[in-house]
Amino acid sequence: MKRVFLIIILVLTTGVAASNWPAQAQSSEVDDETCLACHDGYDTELSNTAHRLMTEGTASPVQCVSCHSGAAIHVEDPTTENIGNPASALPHVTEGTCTSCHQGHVMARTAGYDPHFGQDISCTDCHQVHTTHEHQLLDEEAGFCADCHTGIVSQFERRSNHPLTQEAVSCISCHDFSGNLNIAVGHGAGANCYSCHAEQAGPYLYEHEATSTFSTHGDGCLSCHNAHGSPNEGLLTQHTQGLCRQCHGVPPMHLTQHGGIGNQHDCIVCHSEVHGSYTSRSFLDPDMGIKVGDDPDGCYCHSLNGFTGR
Amino acid sequence: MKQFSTILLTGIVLLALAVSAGQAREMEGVVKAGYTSTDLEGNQSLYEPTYNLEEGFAFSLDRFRYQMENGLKLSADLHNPFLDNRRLKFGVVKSGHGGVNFKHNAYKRPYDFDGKEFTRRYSSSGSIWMRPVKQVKLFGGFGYVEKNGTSINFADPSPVAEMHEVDFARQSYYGGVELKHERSYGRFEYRTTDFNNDRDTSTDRKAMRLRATFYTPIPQYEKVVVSGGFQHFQNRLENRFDTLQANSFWGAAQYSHRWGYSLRYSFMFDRARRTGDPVDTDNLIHAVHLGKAWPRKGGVTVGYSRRLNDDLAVKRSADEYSLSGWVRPIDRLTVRASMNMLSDVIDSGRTLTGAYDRSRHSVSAKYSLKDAYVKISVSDRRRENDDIGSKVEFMRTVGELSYTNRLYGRIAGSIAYGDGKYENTAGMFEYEELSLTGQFWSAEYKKMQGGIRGIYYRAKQDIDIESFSVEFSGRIRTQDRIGVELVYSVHNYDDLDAPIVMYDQYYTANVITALVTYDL
Repeated sequence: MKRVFLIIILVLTTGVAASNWPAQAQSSEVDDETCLACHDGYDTELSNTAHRLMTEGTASPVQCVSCHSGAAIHVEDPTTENIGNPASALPHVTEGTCTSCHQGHVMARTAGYDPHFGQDISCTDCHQVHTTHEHQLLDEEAGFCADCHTGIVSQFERRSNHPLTQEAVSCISCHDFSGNLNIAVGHGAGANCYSCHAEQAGPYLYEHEATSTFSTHGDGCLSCHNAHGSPNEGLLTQHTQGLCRQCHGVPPMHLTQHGGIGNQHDCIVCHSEVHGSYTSRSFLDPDMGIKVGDDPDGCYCHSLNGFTGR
Repeated sequence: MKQFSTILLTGIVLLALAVSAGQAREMEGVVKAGYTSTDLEGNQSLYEPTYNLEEGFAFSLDRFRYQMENGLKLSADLHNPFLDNRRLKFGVVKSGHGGVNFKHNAYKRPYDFDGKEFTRRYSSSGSIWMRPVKQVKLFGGFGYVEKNGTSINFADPSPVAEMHEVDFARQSYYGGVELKHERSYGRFEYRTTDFNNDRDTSTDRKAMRLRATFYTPIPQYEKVVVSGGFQHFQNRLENRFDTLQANSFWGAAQYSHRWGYSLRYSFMFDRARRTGDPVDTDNLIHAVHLGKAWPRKGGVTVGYSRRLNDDLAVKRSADEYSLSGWVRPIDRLTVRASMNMLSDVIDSGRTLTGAYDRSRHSVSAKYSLKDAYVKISVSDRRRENDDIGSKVEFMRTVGELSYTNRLYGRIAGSIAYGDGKYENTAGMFEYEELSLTGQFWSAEYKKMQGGIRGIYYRAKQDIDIESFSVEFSGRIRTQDRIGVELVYSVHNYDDLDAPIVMYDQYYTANVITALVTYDL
């Protein structure tokens, strides 16, 4: 499969490198030459970007007037007031301009899983057409997100954190607004996490409902983890004992049997399969019986699926 | 390693192809070569910022961009390709025609005192796209994640935490097509994923996802746009004959008025079922947002959404209200504020968590000058579950400033203070934390530049942690393109409230990197 995939890549790459498709000329009120007569150097600035000015040899021609409307009037009376500028327009006007080519991003935004909607933030708040940065972002580092999300970025300095500062992940590893990642409700929220943490994805025979976004109970991974960073280990929102008790009471038997084991150990010592289990309804450690009492079926009185009464 | 070789080889092939395809028009980037030396002391499993540190020959190609006369662009960022903490990224793109991109990185996480027990995650991905005609874009790609090594139970804080082997791989392939006509757009994608766990093959699974999405303005009335989509998802445990499947639908309509008003309605419906379950679980959300913007002056948006969850045994609903706005009273000052309240109710049945209320507030202000800015933000979050007697509260205040001077350089700093409080049947868990960051990077003087940056973190109350890192760096340009870089950093971590003496909770690292640089 890998070999086939590589061959396909090489063939397509050769095609891309050698291709020079016929022009699909875009009708224009004012040509680029007219604009560049005054705005000298803009063609050079754009030449190394995805918005390189070109009307020939491409399936997607880009001209000055592709983004700047009203050029005909501007040529007659050159002021900043009569030329369309996506960088200073109302968000929906900018969107209208950008979506003539980049519909995917706005589609995601319209469908409601881009939280920037309603914050009066438009494409040009994160992207700048006249730069050579990758994806025309204002800045290729996490810095440009931090420009607004100051409090969030400082969470990555906590005791445990996702490795943003080591550049192993970036903001858009999880927050992708291009519409290509996973939708943010239903199973989508967890699916973002599972793209790296595949071992936790399930489905399990016995689901821990807190971790399952399919259930009516759960908030997914974020029920217990703070994805940006935490003062506790493992991105946990609090120490394990307290974390479990955020939702669970302690069964009375735990407080009386085995010298009050429920108050002596963290829940996780026995209930280790907290993400879900294939063997125990109570998420008990599948090897617990062997460890404690050489009993592969469970831990003395307890089977892996509950109290046996033995 | 085999996979890395494959990717590297492919990269070389792409590079050769690109170079042979046309004459160079523009080229930029920096090649760096040298050595990274580390001196570590203490418990290596404690301090995350240096988990992925590797000693050895350091090499990188940063921000490499190579443009051909024919419009073909080659880009590469190769960081430490010969060490186990490598990050590699390269691609070939021809705007409007097509492109190929690859990414690969390796990340190590140690779990014991000496760092001998660790897991390493290798992530690789590739994508390709091609636009044969303006209206059609074909795309595809793959993703591969492999993790192996020795880990401990993720939440076991004891010093004798049990080690266990980890060895799994997940590979996925996807492909699809995008169709465009004027401002209308549709996308169809199929994705398949295989998960193989060599330590427990009973957890092997196979997933697939089929997704179709669209976006279009209403013909003859382009102020209204609609979008929507459908997704079918299946996740099958191969050896247990257990399948989880979900169908999701979503859609939205948005109206924008030239006076700055906007109105949007959106919904999302998700139905999930697994083999053996007699009932489905339904999730449904309706949301309405109304906004008004005054160009460059301000804006306000008010929103309401209603969420319903129903699996027959339990039926719950939630109402959420939001209000956000921004104002620019003078050109240099921008103030933003938002609030959000959610009230969740159990309509029938019983749940472990019961009903809950949640609220979030935030306000921020930024004052900008030509070369400087000052910013402050305050946010808080609360969640209360009266049914089970638990309550969570957070508050966080952040201040930040930056000043750039052409003659002397740039100086920046931030301070963040936060506290959190959890109440439940186990009692109370409280913490307060302080983060301080600062950096100075000088302007170039007689071909020399230098800088310092540092981070200090302190958490107190029910936890007691102190950590800091300081980095000194200097760069000398010996000739026009050749230079020398020297970076020294020191990291320190202390858990001052370590519960068990035998498990040392301190860590110190000294790291020196010396590099020769060459500007392309």
